[in-house]
Amino acid sequence: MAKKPFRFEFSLSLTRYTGYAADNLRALLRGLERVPGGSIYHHLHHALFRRHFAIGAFANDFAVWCWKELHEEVLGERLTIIDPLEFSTIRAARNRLIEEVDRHLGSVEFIQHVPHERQFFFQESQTFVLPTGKEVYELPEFAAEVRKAPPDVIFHHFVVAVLRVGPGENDFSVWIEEQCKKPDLAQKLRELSPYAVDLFTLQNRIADLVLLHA
Amino acid sequence: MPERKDERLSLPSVRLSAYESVVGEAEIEQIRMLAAPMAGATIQHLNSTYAGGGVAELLSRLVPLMNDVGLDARWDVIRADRRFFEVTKDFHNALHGAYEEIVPEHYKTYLETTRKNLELVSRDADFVVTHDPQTVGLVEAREPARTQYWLWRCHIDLAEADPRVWGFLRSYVERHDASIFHLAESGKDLLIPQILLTPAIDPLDEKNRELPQEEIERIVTGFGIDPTRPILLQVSRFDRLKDPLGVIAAYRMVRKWQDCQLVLVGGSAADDPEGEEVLAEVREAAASDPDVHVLALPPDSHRTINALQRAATVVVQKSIREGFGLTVTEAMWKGKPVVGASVGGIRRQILSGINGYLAHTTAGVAFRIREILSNKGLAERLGRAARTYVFENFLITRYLKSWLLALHSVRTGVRISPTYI
Repeated sequence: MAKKPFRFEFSLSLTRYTGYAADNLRALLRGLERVPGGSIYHHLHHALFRRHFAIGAFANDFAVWCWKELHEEVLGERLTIIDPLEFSTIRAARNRLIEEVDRHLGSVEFIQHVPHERQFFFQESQTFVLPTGKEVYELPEFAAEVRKAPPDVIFHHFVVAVLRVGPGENDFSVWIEEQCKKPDLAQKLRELSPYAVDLFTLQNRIADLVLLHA
Repeated sequence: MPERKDERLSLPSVRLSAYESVVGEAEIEQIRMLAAPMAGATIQHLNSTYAGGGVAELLSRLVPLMNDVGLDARWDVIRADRRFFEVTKDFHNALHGAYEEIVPEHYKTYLETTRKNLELVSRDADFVVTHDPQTVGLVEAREPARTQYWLWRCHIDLAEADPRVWGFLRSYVERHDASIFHLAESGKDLLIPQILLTPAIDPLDEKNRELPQEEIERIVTGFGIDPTRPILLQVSRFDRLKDPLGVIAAYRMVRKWQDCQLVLVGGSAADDPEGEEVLAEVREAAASDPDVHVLALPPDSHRTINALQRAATVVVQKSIREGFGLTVTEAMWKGKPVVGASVGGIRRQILSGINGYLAHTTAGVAFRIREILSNKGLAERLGRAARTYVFENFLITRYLKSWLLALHSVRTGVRISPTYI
């Protein structure tokens, strides 16, 4: 039994338009350099959350736009393989995106422009965190709670936790390792990628793994 | 002076708990937790009408729900004469990008009516929400020393707004603490935050609630439609921007290959000369074909439209321009595969190939309809994904939740780090 309980929280996001829009690759690069950090966060992470029932090959909004609207398939692929979970700061993620777009710009022969409704509109998220009121001390009840939690809870503790607890880390693994003294289980959870499956499948996999190793 | 409205509008009793059977206990609990720190906060919505149109429809649900979760919400309507509404109609068209003859008299009328309505603004409200251009000028009543948050809810697409009208309104908009738009592409580069809230449907109202199969069949057969054969449906007012003739053309392309019927449903066009003209054109185009049904229904035919949507095999929305297609959301909620034109908000509602199809041309619409008609499994898959997408994004409970977040956001200010409530 853990000394400290795991307190489940959930996060909700409000989306805002930043006023920046891009109708071509140069404008996208300019936007990436200038928009607030919340916009980079939004387009990298929330793309995953919004599409949790429809996993596509192009996982973040920048990649989707380059592929679908600009038909820049090479750049689309390069942006797709950027794993947001490997960055512990928004600045690091922003620099990587800028590097990819800038490099690609150097290799294209002409810059395609798209009409208004196909532009990339930079949006940003404001995140609000609330307690669910649920807390658990034991792994079996932890697994049961994870299985029935709304997706906002999994998203908060498992996906965007990386920005709070560091690269490759999540709230569940931290608690399981520190409080339940199960480093192997904690590591197995760290190895699960939210990009491989949708959030509903992910929460069941987490619950299954915890029950198996509890 | 306009007559001051003393009594509050009598709104239908809407309880959040009634939605638990649709969205689940956890969602209702989340909304209540989000609302708890706002308990007792007063919020005044200001618009130009209690009835008719999407804004009034949304407010008639939102205001009672806000009250049910502990806020003190009220809804007031400005008093204005016909001339003011002619002016704001011209503004409306100009903001949509149409050319309108805007003369100084327009601004004078707008300012005079706005000044006469300033006393409508509640001095005690914690939040004041003005809706659309008609009420944005009421921000003149804002007192700088008072802690009162002002929001402007814009229900129209400003992407191609006439710079003269937008330049005039912008000074009022930027005196608010935040603005709220449907979609980013409808927004502008503003000095105040632009919050994004997509419109929602109410799963429990007459338009969307579940109906017994017998009732659906009775309504459909009442119009001479055969429920055993495939039905293509478009629900839209008879307006050239909804391209009803294009839908008939697409249907004819499909009929070369597959048996089906077409139903075009719209509101009564009695008060709209252009609507009557379009309706006549549509009737003429459909006259020779007994399988094309053109139905001009009264505005309160919600249950009938619900039944027609539930009976449809494929729902079409072949608009030339569309802000946000609520009829698309309604059909998706009913688990119907929708083929929509790749314009405006429809591009955000339909993820082509996942929860419906987007098409750019009449032939493209026909091609997708044929694809769905010939593959029942595909129709079911698209319909299931469509319902899930609406469930997660476009229900009134989600709308209420987003509104509560917007109020928290305005109160706490813009932050990048998470805000713990």
